[in-house]
Amino acid sequence: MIRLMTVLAVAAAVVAGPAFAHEKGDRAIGVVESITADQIVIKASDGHVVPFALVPDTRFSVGDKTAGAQDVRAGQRAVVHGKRSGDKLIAVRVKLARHKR
Amino acid sequence: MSRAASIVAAAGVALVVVGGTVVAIAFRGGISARREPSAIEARVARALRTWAIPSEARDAPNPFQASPRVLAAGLAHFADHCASCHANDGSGQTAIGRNLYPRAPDLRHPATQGLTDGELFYIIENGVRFTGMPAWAGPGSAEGSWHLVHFIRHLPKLDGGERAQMEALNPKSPDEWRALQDEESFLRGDEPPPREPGHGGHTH
Repeated sequence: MIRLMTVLAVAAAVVAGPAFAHEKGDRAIGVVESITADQIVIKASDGHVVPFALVPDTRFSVGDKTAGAQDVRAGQRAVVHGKRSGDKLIAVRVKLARHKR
Repeated sequence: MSRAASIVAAAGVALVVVGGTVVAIAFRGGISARREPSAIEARVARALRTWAIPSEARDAPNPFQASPRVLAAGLAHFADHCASCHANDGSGQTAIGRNLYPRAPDLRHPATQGLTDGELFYIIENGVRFTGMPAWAGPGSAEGSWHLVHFIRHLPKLDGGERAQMEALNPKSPDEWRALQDEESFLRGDEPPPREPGHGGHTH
């Protein structure tokens, strides 16, 4: 009986393993405090400031449209998804709110 | 011992030596999937895969012409069913794909792009034993699999807009759906989502 339970537990672990696997990432939600050629800084509503490095692979979007770093303005609402590289946060995706007219 | 018996005995010994060597190489790291497959294993596995695909399947042409509609269908199908292991860009760089044994291949590389349409279709439909690749064949599956073949050919040219579309189509957990809805409502101008403990809108 113990052997059967052990086999079942191992099988369950094997089957369930991938379901629990996920990418670790970092996200910041707030307004753009500043942007330069190599960095975007997001200020969250509580004042927490998060800098992300911009790299050639960083993708920008406004709604479902592709955008670019030139479309970013200070004060604009943004959501930045990043990944850690050493002690830096690299911006993977920058989602921007539409400019107010 | 007759000459025939000697030949059979020698062949048996050679088989045991070769087989033992292959098993020793394959299992030199125990059953762990953490070790990188050796070049010999990868080469043997690819050769076996090629050999195992029937020639009529290998030569089968894609019955669907590539078109924006077919590519869009393949993109949606890939994002929903394949990207968990293969990644949206086909690189295989996901938590699952890079830890499978063998690793999920980079579908943009010649080892995959060099396969015929029929071989790609056969692998999608039938899977590959002793790998993480499942068989997707089922009633009515063929059309979707042929669309995927076109999309796999398109992977080396995938652009940022297509990757963004795929991200929206990737399977999500309830938490991920909630996070996505929070983001979209914030970008529309609603109040920011509640601060998560210790991070102030900066989540891990």
